Amino acid sequence: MVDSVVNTFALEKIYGTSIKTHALKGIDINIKKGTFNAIIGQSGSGKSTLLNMIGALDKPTKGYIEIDGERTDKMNAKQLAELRNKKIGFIFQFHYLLPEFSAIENILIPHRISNPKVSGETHQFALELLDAVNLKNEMNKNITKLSGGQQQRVAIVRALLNKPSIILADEPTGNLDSENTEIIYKLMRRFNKKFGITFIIVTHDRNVAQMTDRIIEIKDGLVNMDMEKTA
Amino acid sequence: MKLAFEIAWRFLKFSKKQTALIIIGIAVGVTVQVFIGLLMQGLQANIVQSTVGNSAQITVKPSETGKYIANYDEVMKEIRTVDGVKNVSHVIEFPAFLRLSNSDYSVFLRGFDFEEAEGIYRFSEKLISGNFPVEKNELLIGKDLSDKYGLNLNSEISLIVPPVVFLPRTFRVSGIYDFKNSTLNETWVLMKDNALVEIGLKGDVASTIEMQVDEIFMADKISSDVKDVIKNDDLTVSDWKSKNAELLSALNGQTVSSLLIQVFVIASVAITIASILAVSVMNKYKQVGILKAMGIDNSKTFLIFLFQGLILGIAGSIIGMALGVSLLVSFETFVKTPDGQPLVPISFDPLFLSISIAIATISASLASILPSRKAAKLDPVEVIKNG
Repeated sequence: MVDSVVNTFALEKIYGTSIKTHALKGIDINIKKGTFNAIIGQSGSGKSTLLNMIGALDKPTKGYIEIDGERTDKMNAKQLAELRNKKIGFIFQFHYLLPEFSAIENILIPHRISNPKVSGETHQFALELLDAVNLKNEMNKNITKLSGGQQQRVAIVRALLNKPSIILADEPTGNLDSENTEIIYKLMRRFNKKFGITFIIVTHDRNVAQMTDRIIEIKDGLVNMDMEKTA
Repeated sequence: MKLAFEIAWRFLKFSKKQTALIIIGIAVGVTVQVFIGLLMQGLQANIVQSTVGNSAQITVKPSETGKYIANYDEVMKEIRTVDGVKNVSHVIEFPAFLRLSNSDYSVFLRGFDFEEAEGIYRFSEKLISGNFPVEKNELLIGKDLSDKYGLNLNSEISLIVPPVVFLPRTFRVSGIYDFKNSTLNETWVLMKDNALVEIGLKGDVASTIEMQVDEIFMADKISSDVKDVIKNDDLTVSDWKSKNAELLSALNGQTVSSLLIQVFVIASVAITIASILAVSVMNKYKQVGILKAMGIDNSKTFLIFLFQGLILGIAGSIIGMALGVSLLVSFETFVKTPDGQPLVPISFDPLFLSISIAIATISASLASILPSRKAAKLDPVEVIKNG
């Protein structure tokens, strides 16, 4: 499994103490490096729970996850924070940008978390990415002054800046119209190809899923279908 | 560290109204604390100054009543070598009667070297009319004695000094003083020391050696140093503190109550900051979750909110200090005694002000620890899941 970037082993998640909800009932998947994947499923199927666990935001009740060959259950809080910062990029349905900062400042935050100073090279890379998403002219605007589609593009650039191994996107277009949905998917695809970053996209939109290389369907906490597109 | 500070700064800047409210809260607390603290200090200094400032703070007397210090010049020379002692002077004194139209009134004759004793008594400021005695038959009387018996400048008076009989000479009032103390003004009759030596017929002696000290509250320690230096069992050294135990305990009581008020004010400021910052953490719940998802660790998250407390504390305490000082300046300027002097003279002690700023800032930072820990412990997945 050398070319795998994510491996999950008998992953289970139970929420609650008195009333227990078995969100994941034993998930074994591996995601290959540089691929573009979709996790689909109905609301409450456990797809977002799986994504949060891959992103080291949540911990499994049973089983474990390997990111780039390293087990996340063996890591302490600081190591997990470092993993999220360096190897993982997140794109959420609601962009989750910081309203106190401008577009360019938001983009640079993941880099600044691990580097006290922003190098000229990183700044240049941020500008290139902003140019690629057609937002170079808006970079100094406060994030609240941008439209929903523009905010989501800023969030994509933010996720890309540290050149992570994986980008986890939870319903990244759930809040956008069809035109912006297409723009966002095309951008993600482009960056997947250009930088070889692995994308795992959670969506309930089968049309969107059709555009990916692999579709994993989660149903009632289990993998119901795992379909890979042949080249 | 820099990022944590910048985020803290932006959080505060973004919520301008809330930030202004907290800073005003801290500033009001510090204003009250500085105002009360400095007012009490001024009041105490004023009480001490008016009680013992213009009098002897350490006295050396013969242990036995009726005795005199014969070698007072030598003793004074030794005393002047003690650290912290100033304005050493000698006085010769004994009771006398003032004879006015066949009635006698009890007075206390005190003989000074006026120049030497100026440091302690500030006679030149107290003399309200006339001049210092030059001739041996000249004397100064107090304002109240003058008013009571209708004595004026150049009035002639007779004195009887027990056990010496009626003095054949008459004395002339050369000046009138006002010590702002009716007992002293009524009983002390001041003359040149050599004039009194002649009347007393005891030779060149002193009844008491008086002095002041640089640090008024060190008088007891310096008094024992004086005792060590003069090494004379026939002489007793006493200081103002041992004679004014009640005043000291009143001053201590005042200090303690003033401190308590200040502590409660600062504590309430700290509690206010803690609760407002706790609300601020709730308000920034989403941002903390986002930052954690991006990989900020718990210690940096903690720092963000600690810095907020620090910034608020510094800003609030500096503004509070400025307000407190302005209020005191107004108080000093507008609240005056009938003779135009400030009711309470305030000294703007830089040490007290620095300590006030430091305490308020530290309290604000400590108050932010609890909310900061809460933020550090926040689970990002809760934010992500709940939006």
